[in-house]
Amino acid sequence: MSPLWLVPGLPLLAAGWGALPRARPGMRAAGIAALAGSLVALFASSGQRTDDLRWLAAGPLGGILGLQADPVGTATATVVALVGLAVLVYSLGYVDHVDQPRFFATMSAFVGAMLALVLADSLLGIFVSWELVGLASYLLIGFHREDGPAQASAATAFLVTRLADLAFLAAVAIATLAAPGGLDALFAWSRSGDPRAGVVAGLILVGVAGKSAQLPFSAWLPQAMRGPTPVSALLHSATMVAAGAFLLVRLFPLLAATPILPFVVALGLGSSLFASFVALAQTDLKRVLAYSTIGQLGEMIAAVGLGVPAAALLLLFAQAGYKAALFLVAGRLQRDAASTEMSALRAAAGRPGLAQPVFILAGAALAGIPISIAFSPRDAILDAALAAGPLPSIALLVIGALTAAYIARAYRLVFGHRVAIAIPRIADRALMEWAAAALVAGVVALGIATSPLLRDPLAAYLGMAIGGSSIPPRFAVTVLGLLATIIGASIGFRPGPIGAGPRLAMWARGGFGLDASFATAAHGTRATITALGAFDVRVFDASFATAARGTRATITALGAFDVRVFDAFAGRLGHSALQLFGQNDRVDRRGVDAGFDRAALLIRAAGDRWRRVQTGLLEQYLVAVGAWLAVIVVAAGAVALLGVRP
Amino acid sequence: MISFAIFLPLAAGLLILVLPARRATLMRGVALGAALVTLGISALFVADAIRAPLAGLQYTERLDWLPPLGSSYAVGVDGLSAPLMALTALLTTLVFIYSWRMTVHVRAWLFLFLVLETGLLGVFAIQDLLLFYLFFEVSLVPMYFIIGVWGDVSAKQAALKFFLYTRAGSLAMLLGFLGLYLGVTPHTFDLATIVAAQPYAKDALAGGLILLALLLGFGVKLPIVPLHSWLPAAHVEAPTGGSVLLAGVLLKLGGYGLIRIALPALPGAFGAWAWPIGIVAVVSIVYGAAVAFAQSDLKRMIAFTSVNHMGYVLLGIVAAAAAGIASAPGRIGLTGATLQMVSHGLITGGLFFAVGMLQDRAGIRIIARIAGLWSAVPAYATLVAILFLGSLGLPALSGFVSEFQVFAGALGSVPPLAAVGLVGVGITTAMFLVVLQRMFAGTPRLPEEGALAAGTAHGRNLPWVDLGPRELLVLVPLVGLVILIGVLPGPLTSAIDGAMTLLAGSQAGR
Repeated sequence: MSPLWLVPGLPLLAAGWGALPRARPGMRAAGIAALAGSLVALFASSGQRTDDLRWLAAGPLGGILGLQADPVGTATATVVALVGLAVLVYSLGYVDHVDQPRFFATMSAFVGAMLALVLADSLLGIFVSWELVGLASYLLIGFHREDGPAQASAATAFLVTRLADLAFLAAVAIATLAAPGGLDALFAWSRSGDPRAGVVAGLILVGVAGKSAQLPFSAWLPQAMRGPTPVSALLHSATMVAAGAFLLVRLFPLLAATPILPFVVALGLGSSLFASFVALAQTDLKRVLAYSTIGQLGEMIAAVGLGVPAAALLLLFAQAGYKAALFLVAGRLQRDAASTEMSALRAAAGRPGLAQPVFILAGAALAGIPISIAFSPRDAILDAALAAGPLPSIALLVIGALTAAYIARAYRLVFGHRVAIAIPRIADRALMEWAAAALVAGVVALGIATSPLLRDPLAAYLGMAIGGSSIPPRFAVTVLGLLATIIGASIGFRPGPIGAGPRLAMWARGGFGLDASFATAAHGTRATITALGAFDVRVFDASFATAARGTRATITALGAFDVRVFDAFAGRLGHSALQLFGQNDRVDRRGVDAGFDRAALLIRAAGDRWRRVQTGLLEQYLVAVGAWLAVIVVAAGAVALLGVRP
Repeated sequence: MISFAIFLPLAAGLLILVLPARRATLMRGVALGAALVTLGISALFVADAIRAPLAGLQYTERLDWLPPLGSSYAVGVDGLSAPLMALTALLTTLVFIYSWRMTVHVRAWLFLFLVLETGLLGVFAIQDLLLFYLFFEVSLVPMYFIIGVWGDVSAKQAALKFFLYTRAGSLAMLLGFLGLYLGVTPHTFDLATIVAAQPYAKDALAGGLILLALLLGFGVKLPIVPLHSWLPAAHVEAPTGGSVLLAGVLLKLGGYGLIRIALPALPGAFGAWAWPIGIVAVVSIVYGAAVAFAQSDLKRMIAFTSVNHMGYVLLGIVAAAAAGIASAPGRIGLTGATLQMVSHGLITGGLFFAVGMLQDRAGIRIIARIAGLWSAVPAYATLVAILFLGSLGLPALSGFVSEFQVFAGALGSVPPLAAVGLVGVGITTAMFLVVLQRMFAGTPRLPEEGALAAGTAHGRNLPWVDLGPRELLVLVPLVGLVILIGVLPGPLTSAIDGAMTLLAGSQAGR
């Protein structure tokens, strides 16, 4: 068995062990060791691929599950494992000790599922891990089980992403049936000109929009901030939302074979513009970062649409590092301030420690200052946009300026005017700071990897060109991008309200009404469903009762008919018989009388019984009718059978 | 071997009838022992079907029963029967374990469940339509008494409603059988002969009418909207064990009948009517999910999810009817439908046990009045959450495997219906998440005193005690199987797929 299985396997095993009943004191060590083991296994198995397991052993629906350590998968898996490790170390300081075993178990599952996703070699495998990533993030956002709002946010996150995943599920079903086998088979099929390939690509894009919190599904991500900060750090960087952008990179050959790419660009740029505006209006640092994530993912998605998937991937790696670092800093300050409102964090920033330099470096990387791995891909994306047309180029430049503006503004609001207050020293703080610092250091160090010297080897490794239309990018493109950053940053550093009046700011803060319309839609759905529930009772239960009442009325009528017709007939018959007997004295009076009396008694007894049935419960009637019908049908059937028997 | 498995529960039931009344524990032991032996044998059947998926009917037995009517006692198991027989035996065993301490009319309780087990096993094994009808009816009567005698407040009414609906359905089914009988010369009730002869292949009107009769019969059982109204009443009023077998197995008689009898015998008529029937399936899926969401009583909610989940079964069958049983989407759809029946039996059976355990503790099952189960009873909450996730079709649990296949088949055969059907999955997800949030999250809240005083059949009023060993013994096997099938579906699906392949081939003889 290939050691490749160990890469997602070790964290998942650790999670399974931690999920067993009874507290697991060794869970923290197990979680960290498992992830480190994953990294080792990853390097040991680079370039390998596992045998495919046939998931449904027989039948036309192939469905295979296997892993492949191709360059794209290996590189992404490395980033996932490294960021995961940093966040786990940080959690040693952040998470309450009582909760740590369960926390580390769930985090291990989260990272393990994500590792399986990036290494999976079939669409089915990607989907299965994709859903498990969603489940793990649900459990983690709602980690504090007695915190009602956090539970609601967790449910929203899971529900919104899963609704979008229904489209993905349909895509997987269609693709698995049309092209049984792995991703290679899928790509070959998409090039065959089957129109269903376009449908599959479109459905997958819906799933991606949900997972990466793009429009119109964006509302769940800012809400997910209710979860513990290390969860946000991981969820926003290397797992969960990153899965959407990663999937588009992974499936680029499929997308390129269909007419979907312009839609991909539109989705990415539209969401990115929207989120970058909204980020500028927030007062809570974690919400700034949340909208920032949506904006950054939009850029990556647009990059795939513009035909530079490798640039999207590099940007994904960069944002995994600096966004996680920014969240860890936010959480570190939050530990002191007990809030993530920027006005409150400002107090905690009185003793910034490593938090301030980390924030500066990570913020600069986010803004597009050429110090990190993010710089080179951004250039490439802008270059590709310029080649594509004016509209995407302008959109990208505006996004760049807005990004610089909101992060500069956040820095000013948190670190700008220090309020010196006494804050107790927390022993674990160093651990938290160093974890964040390590991430930023990584991002900056990796910046060297994308320097012009190393770009081509990197591109060769990934098997995809990093650049856009021209390699190396034109100098003018770099200048243009930097100009946007500088303009944006200068706006952000300027004190005072930004742009239009407070009403617009409020509107923007709520995501331009998107959050509210989500709630409205949810309420509307709920009302419809309640109405349906009432409908079911009214219509179906009532119609049964009506039918029962009708049957009963019929039976009563039959009873009355019986009295009127048969009793009357019998009475008349008896009357005439009496007359007959009375006229004829020779009739043996005693015998006839006795017989008649007995008959009368029998009739009365039968009548009594019948009356009891008549006045009895509705149920008795219905059973009687049912039994009678059965007898009739069986008898009819038997007669028919005997009649036609050869 | 099969006959032994079918009639062992009945024999044990008769033995229990003659045991002295004070030997209640002995009675329970006899019942449990018989159920366990039956479970062992049916597990063997499953293992055989997995080992040789294409072997066809195994362990066949044949005895002339009514030669003049062309009816014989013919039984056999294949990849379609065996999993459902094992499901029946498993759930019956677990009911005996769960109700071990039950004291109300113990003798009758055990006897009725054993008779029920014989009836259900017989339906799944029999290959003759007249005897199919007979066993079908045999399974009906014990359930009527189980609901009526041990049920809740308005149990008698619910039992009657159940009885009348299913009775009307089984009469329609019998009419359909008679139609099939008359369509073959010489007349016979033998299923294999009927399927090979393909009666009414040329006569669209007669074929359609017979199909309609069969659909009414099996549709009531399944149930499909609008024939579903007996289901919530019966499930809610029934005692826990009754609900478990009702939802876990009795509903499957409908799906099983459609796959085993209606589809292979009348593929032409079924194909011609695939779209209208498919619309009924999709309506059941969406409507069942939506109405389930609207419920405030947990038991009623789970009852309605059965309408939704059995809608997937019908959708998978429709995929096969529209595209042909032998086609790729058809086989996938049928395999998915069969696996969905097994998966639903495990998940919903488990959920009804779980509702029973909740009621044993809290005395109520109103969703809005219970909170904090995660903190109060963590083991219970974890197991039930896994069942919820299985029910909403999360990968790595059995529900996903079956739903994925149903939708793959339907998307390849009747794509618009499949697309609408996916809405049902969305609603189910939302519903279970809301329930998790309401009942599981938050700080534990004890129900009001009045509710506690109401008491329960099991006489345990201590709220918020986590699962005891007997309860774990009931839930853990079900959850374990849900996970096992979800992670490694291959063996079971290949067994089922083998049966479907042979089903497609069985009409070739015409």
